Amino acid sequence: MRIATLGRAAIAAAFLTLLIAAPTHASTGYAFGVAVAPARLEFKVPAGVTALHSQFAVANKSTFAVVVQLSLTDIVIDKRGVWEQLPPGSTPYSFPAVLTPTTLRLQVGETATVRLSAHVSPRPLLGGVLVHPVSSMSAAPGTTGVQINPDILIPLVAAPVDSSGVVQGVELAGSPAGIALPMLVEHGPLAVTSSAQNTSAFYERAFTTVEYANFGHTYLTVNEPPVGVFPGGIARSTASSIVHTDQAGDIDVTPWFGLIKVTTTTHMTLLDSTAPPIVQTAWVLVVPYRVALVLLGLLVACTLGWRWRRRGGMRPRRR
Amino acid sequence: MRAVRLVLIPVLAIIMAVAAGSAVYASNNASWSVSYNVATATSMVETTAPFNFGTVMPGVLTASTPNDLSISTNDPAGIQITASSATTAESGASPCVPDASRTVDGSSIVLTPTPVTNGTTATKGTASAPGNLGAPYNLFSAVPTEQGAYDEVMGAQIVAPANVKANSTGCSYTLPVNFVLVAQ
Repeated sequence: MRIATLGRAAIAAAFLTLLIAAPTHASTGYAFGVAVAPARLEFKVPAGVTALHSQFAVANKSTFAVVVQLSLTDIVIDKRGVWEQLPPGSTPYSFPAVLTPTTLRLQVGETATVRLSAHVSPRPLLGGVLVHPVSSMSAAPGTTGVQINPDILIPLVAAPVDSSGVVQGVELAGSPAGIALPMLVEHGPLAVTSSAQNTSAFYERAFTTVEYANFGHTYLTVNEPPVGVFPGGIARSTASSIVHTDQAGDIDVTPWFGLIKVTTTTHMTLLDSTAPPIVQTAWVLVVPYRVALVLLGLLVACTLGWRWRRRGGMRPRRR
Repeated sequence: MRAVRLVLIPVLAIIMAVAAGSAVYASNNASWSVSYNVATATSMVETTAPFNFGTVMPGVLTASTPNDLSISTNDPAGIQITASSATTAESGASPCVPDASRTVDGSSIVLTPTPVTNGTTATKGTASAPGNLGAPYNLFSAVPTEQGAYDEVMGAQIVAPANVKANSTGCSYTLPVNFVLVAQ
């Protein structure tokens, strides 16, 4: 059975979007790099399917012709969230794919299609395709130079699914790992870091939504970008109460006074399947305490002054 | 009967005229629907011309040189960029005779990333604290979710180890810096 994940029309449309906004440096006229579409490849593998077929496109966005090398790689996400690459076959979930071709020679603005095929067994797989444009440059003699390689890694994810598309063979799960928020602040912005641990046996993506509520009224909801995390790893998402607007720029929507309830909801997902949500809550009191202390001091001074005047003030006492 | 005919015939004539006009209009105005879907796409382009740091003093941090990566994406999930390097021996054209024992490693490169610039939507991300490339290093502690074209401008510095060997005649150190963009 054959699965074609994306058509040529989709890839062409994506490239049209990218090429309209082609990045070139105005002052130097130098550009070295490539574009790829799609940015990630995900496969739902129904029962009985043993072969996957897909394709992706690579475009030269350099100001000169380049050679592009394509290679498969295994992936490990470390505790710092760094995607580290390993040789193919290094991990038990290695993606056994074949790329055709593995080298491209692209003229300026040229696009090529790369085919990917794989024979799979009913188990989850994770890997990547490293798209590496080649440049040759060396520093002048007796000096130290830097050779920049702008590579793109296309993640490859596959998992068996049932007839309704729900992932099978992997029990998606996660557990709360804390929420970092101060208990008392003088003013915003309020930054909150929510952590969730991947307690499943495979890679998951953690999608976190953060809600800010003041005395029961939800005034801000922030959807954080997904964080890829390995079994046992902790996905951390940091949200802020600063809202970006097109007209007024960045605005902090934290009230000047309030008892703020921050609720984070994290969904650990694989493909389109999701584990039960992980909900964590924290409270923070927003009080402009320095202004409050000044006002309190003024109030005390006024009260003392008023009482002092009531008792006679500077008038000489009668004998 | 004549009165009925006087009313019915004009009414039928009008109905037939409208029907005929509609048929002519339809035949001259074919409707064509186009459908397509758009895949996520990303690009990353180095737009800083090749540069070198000249002759560096061992153990002394050089001045910062800006490096600009132009990024374009339509993926709302955001992107991460991981920088890495590797131990490199000296190299060069004749008269250089490379000595394989004369090496430098990635820890001699220090990067200072910044939140992305020139985007128009969503978040600019949070830049990681400055770090060296002795180990793979994420440029963002919170990833940017901009869509469209934007830039990541970072400072690059060299601090050669105090015990680094001087180059052989005509040779130099050229360190590879791999920036790997990953859709989140």
